Amino acid sequence: MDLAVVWLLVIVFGIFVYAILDGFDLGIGILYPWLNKQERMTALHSIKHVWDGNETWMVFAGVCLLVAFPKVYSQVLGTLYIPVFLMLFALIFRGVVFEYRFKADSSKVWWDFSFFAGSTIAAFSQGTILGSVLLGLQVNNEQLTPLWLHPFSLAMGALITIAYCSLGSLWLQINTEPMLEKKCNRIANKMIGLFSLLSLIVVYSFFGNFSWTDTTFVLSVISYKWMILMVVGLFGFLTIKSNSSMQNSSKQAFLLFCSYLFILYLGLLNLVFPYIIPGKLTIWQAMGNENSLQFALVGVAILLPVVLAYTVYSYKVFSGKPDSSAGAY
Amino acid sequence: MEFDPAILSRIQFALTISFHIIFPTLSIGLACYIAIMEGLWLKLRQPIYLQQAKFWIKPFAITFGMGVVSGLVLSYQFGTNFNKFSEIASPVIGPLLNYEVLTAFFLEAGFLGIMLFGWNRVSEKIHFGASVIVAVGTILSAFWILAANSWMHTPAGVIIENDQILVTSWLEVIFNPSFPYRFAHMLLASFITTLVVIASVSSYYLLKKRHQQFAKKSLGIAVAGLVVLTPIQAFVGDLHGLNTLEHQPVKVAAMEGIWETEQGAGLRLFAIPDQQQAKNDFEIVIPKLASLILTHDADGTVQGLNAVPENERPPVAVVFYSFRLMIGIGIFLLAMAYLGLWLAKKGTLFNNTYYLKTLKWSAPLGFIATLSGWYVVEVGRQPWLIQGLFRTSDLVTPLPAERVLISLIGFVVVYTLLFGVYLHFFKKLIRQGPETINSTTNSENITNAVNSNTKQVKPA
Repeated sequence: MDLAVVWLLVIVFGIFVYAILDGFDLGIGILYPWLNKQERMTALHSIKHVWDGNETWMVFAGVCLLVAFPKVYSQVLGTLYIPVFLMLFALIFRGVVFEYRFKADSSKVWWDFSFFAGSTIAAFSQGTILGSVLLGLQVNNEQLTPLWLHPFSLAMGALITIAYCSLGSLWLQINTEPMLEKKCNRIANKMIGLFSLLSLIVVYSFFGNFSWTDTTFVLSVISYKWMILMVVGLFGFLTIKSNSSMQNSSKQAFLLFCSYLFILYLGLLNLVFPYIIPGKLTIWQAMGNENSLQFALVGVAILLPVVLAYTVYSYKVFSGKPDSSAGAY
Repeated sequence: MEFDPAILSRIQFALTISFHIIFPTLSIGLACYIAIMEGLWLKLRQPIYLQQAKFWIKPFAITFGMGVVSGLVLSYQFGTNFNKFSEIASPVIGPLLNYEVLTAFFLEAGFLGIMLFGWNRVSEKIHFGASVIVAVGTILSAFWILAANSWMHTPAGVIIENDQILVTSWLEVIFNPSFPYRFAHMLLASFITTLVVIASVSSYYLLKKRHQQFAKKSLGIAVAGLVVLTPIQAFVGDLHGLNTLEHQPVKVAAMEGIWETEQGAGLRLFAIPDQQQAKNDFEIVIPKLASLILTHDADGTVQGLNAVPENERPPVAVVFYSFRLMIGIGIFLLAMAYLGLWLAKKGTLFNNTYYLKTLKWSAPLGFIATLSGWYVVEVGRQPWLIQGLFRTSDLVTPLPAERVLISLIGFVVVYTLLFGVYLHFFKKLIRQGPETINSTTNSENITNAVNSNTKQVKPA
């Protein structure tokens, strides 16, 4: 298979794993205002040992982009300077919370705020970055100001924030005691409903306005717009239904929502392919040096399965309800 | 006031990398120290080693966390502020960073959770394994990042075609001419810096007459470590200098403050370099010493800065002063190590108040020396971003100055705040001191004693 496609798949995989894993721990931060003091500690304990590994997937996806599509890496980061730094600052503020919150006495309120604000701003910026890329990194004047404040980018920001929020509440539902579990279940249902609704609005009002939407869609027989609308509606309904009936395990609801996101994500990729910056650069135009791609691919092929194996192991070590005993180590 | 976005981007990069490097320097050393202590405990079953490991894990955790969040910024800054660099150099830098993520970042992150929170969830041996893996991860991370950095100083294994870098040999890229010296120098710097911090904290306890058993053990280890490592560092530093003379003679000229090519060049103990006039003011020179050190021949020739055009010279003063600061601290630490050895032989290491007070205040020295060394190396490479191939000024993102200014101000504010917070919590952990561990030979009791601090364990 063609190197550009293989690398695209690696990056697509990396971004998805990132979105799910860091999605749920960012989501817990976004949910913070709805949790009381005790619940916040439980929530933080359920992710304190995994957030660092989760965030590493973003570095992985970024670096893969640098190797495989250097033009995209430099254009996206150079153009979206402001939302990228907004996201990085936000991630700094929420990242240090894990180290300091447990050891804090008088400053707990600040750390809680930092965790909430940091998680929310990070999620929202990620959404606007995605939105701006989908808009083809349009620049509205010579000032190189990208359209990251375009209604579509902002809607994507909201969409990602709500998606993470849903993941966070579903994760917490699995990893907590009964009291909080019910609360999370209620929040999760609302969030997934909201997510589906907003997806419908976004798809309905924006899709079709972009140059890339009708050129490359594989299943052009059926109108893509209506198909996406159907998928969104159906999956939203199924996930909420599964989550509402408490007979089903919460793990199943989590997995179902992940597959819901995955299908939307694939649909989006399918629309954009073979562009990587829609309307501007195809994966072949953006591809880096072949020798370097091959050299790095050897590493990915050998090491990624190993990484996945020990990531699963470290999740297993801490599986089950968290011990919310003493703060740390 | 007009700002140059290129200069602002460089200041921002220098600021973020300076802030970042503090944390890996300490976390590499602490990770190794913790793994060694845990290993010794498993082997010897003396509780004091477990106490060492358990205590230092806390400062390690906050240090590591700071390294993660500040490192995250760096990995994206190539793209945001030096996007032409990321495009041109991606064939080399990309795969090296990719291997760093796969072999180091994931490894550290995957086992850090077990190392920090897994005491009650995995066996002693697996916990030790996790600590070792984290330590290995930190070293591997240094390996790849220094391979990439060294390559920018001494590019090898590539050809340039139409302004594109094409790799011809990955082995030559990774093991480029300056890499082995830089890697060894940095690892030693990190071990030495950490031992100085450990010595400082131990001295503080001894002076305060708290946790004395604990502090005596760690001070002993730290001084012994410094006695071994500081002379090795001096030796490796010398080799690194010789290597730089071979590949980046202009940098060495800036380090030494030598403007005219000289035979039997003297060592400038002090000088005020004047970049405009291309000369030094107020020189204090020891004749022939620079030649002797650099070429190992008192009459050897040392190339001066004037041998290259003005626009290929680095900012001399920064390099010159940083170099002296690094060397000065190095000599001071070497002297402290051997003074400590002498005191230990006399049997007064633990109660010589002057010595302990000096050590107590020495904690920042390793960091300052590491940072100065970093400035010597990085500023000394200017105006090149990739030595001899690409200039820094040609590879920056053409951003509006105010945008870079905003992010730069953001970094100054955020990092100042974070550094204050870090120091506050670091001090707090030090003041709390190590947990008490019953000195008993029965290992089960030890484990119980340790666990009782975090979890109620019923006596067997």
